[in-house]
Amino acid sequence: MNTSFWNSLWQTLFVQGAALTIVLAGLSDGLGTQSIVLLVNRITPLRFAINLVLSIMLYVLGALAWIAAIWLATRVVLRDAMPLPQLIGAVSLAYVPLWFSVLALIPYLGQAISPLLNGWSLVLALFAVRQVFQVGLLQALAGTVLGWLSMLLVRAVVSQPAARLDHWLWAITTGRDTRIDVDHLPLMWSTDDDDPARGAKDTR
Amino acid sequence: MIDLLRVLAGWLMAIAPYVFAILLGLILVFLLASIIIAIVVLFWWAGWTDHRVVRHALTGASAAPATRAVVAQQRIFMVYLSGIGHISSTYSTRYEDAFLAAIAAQVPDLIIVGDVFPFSVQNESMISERRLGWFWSWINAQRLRKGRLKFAGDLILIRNILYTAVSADRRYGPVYNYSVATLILNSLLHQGYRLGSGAPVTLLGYSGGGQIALATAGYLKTTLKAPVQVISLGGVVDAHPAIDRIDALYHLYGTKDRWERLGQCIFPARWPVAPWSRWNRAVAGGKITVRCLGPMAHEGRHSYMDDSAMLASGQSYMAHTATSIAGLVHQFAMEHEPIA
Repeated sequence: MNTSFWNSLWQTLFVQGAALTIVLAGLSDGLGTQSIVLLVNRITPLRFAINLVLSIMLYVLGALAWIAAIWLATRVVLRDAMPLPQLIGAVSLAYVPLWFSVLALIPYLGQAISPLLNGWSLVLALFAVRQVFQVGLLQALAGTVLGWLSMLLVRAVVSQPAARLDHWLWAITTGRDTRIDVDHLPLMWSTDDDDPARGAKDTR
Repeated sequence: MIDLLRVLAGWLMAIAPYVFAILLGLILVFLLASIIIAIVVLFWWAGWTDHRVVRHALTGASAAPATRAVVAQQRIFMVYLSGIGHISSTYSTRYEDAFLAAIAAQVPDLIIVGDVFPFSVQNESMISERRLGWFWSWINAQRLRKGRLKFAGDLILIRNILYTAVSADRRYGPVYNYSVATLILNSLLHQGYRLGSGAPVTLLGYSGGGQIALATAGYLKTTLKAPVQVISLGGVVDAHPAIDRIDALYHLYGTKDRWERLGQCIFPARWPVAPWSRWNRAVAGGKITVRCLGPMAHEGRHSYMDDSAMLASGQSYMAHTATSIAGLVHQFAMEHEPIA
């Protein structure tokens, strides 16, 4: 990697705003999904903020990894070496619809918003790849899907250490050893107590 | 004529951006309000807001296991959860007072528990809310005055519909429904229900209260260890997992009830094309009974609780609805009478 590559990457991420686009999508996604998990687990406001910042960082890393995987896959499929920063600049636009991920918080109807936004984002990513590599839609689809599959493969290989890392990050940011899913909250009353909701509140 | 049309078209083109901006603003306000309502529930659960709820203890006489003598004196309990037009547990329309009295008159020893406001996790009336109490008080005053601003009363409906959506949402529902179930349980104990007595309980939910009645019934059934049935009157009801736990659900509707039809549309599990859904399986298995009461509307004149509108039989709409519900409550109590 020469100096011009790093300059170009810097320009794309911070001058052209690709990083900001992905960070905003990460923030919106964190508020739309992660915040519910945190509040159900009764995390304090400070730890909530720390966990949210961490989830945004992981989101950005995940996005960059996905774009890099597309870049590698398209190199294999098309035998064409397009500069990575150019691809980041184009595919980061696919994260614009995900700015609205916070709408997933809308009661009941919000549950359907996430799949819709992800679908919209995927379509934009396809057109971005097609534009950058100047190829047909099928070739762009092949490159994007191959990148996605390679990501899945990597995830499967590192799933155990990734789960341990996820648990460790959860524990240090929230101060809780276990993460309780809303469907598994111990919602019951204790007749030995003076507060009917105490049984559930003891999950702190 | 053509000049007039041109002027009209020019005028429409001129105001179109403003109309669009107003519509967009209203949509944004609605989205923001719906998110805030869900977040408020979660903040309350997480302990980020103050807990001003007054709870009755489960300890003491009412929480003690029932003796045989007490069981023999057991009365019939029915919890009433109001519709989306209400602002507190104490406010009732002139229709509702007479309606509940008519049910009580037909079921001997019936205790109606009606002091739970189902659209609040703290049983807090809307006019008592710390930040928006003044606003809801003003809105309610406009609604009752029936002046030019009476349409503002629809904001109360929208707010309570959003709470109904929170109850139906699988992410917020467990927290919200458990909290309202706590209020119901406390009210039952306060009214003399004894844990362990096995006395059957009926939850009657009107409109959006029907959804919350069903969603809270599962928790009550687990704790009371007694028969629990739910009656949904024109309810906007989802196929909640509580269906598997309760003893019976009666869904009563009128042919002119548009809100009840909305429930059928927005909850896919109730669509006839999903025979494997929890709702449709329960209907096929006899646990859910869907019954038409007649040509009733949802609220106001010609509604389930209108005593001036008459059926062909000469019975008023309200009398017919009250008789139908009283029959279900009485029958359920007789079928599940605790053995002394």
